[in-house]
Amino acid sequence: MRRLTPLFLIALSLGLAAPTLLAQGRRGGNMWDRLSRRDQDKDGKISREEFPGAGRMFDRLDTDGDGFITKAEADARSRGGRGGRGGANTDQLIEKLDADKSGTVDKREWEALFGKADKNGDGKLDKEELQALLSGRDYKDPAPKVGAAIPNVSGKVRGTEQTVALSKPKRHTVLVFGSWT
Amino acid sequence: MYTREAHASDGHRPARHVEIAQPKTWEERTDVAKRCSAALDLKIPQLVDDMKDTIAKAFHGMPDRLFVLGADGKIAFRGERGPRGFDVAAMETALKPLVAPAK
Repeated sequence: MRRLTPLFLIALSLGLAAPTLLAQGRRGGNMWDRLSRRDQDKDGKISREEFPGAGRMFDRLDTDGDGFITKAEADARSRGGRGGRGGANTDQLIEKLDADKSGTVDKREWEALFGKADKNGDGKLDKEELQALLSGRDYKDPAPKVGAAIPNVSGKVRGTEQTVALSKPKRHTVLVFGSWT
Repeated sequence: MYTREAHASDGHRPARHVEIAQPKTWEERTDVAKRCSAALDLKIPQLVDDMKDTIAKAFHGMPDRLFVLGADGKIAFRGERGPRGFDVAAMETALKPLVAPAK
């Protein structure tokens, strides 16, 4: 059997390692590792001209808006996962959830937030409620306002055959919504 | 206006003062409404919402809320959403001038 030369052994080891190295390259290590290769003027930051992606993505990464993406900005994005707005929304959500500021969210805190977010009390969070929760926007009460027409709905009086058209009260009427629980 | 149970015994936050499973039919809801009315000795007429919660959704009235419906067909008072916003005094303040005898 022919003896394997050291050079051949080195080439073999590199060959076996290559797929791993290539895979790491494709995954990028982290974002700055990938971006720094584009730093043509070697100033330690990535300008809009050096950035390989779309302008929108550049703007997302350039969080201080100075026209350059730095290692710190890229690392922040890498740490935050989706980062950008997603990261900000996650921080907002944690701030809303962690009532006792313990740094963790327990079941009671989660359920309390659900109750607050469930504005119409139907036991479900619809898209509007979730958007309001994540965006932190002031909630706009969708219930009919003072001066608005009474909703055109009717209900049957329990224990009778009488149906009441709520939109046409014969006199001023107090309407109380509720349940036993 | 009797609505969906806010804290049904088979829900994620059951009430402590009474054990009521979420009614699955209008008849069940009506029966619960009747028992509630008797237990609380309510004297006011009671409407029971359908199982689609049609009226509660139209008014955004769940879990509990106060309105004053004006004789002119318009909302005369809209209370904040309960339970925190359920303010009987605020409703009375809005109602009194509406029903005060004309001078």
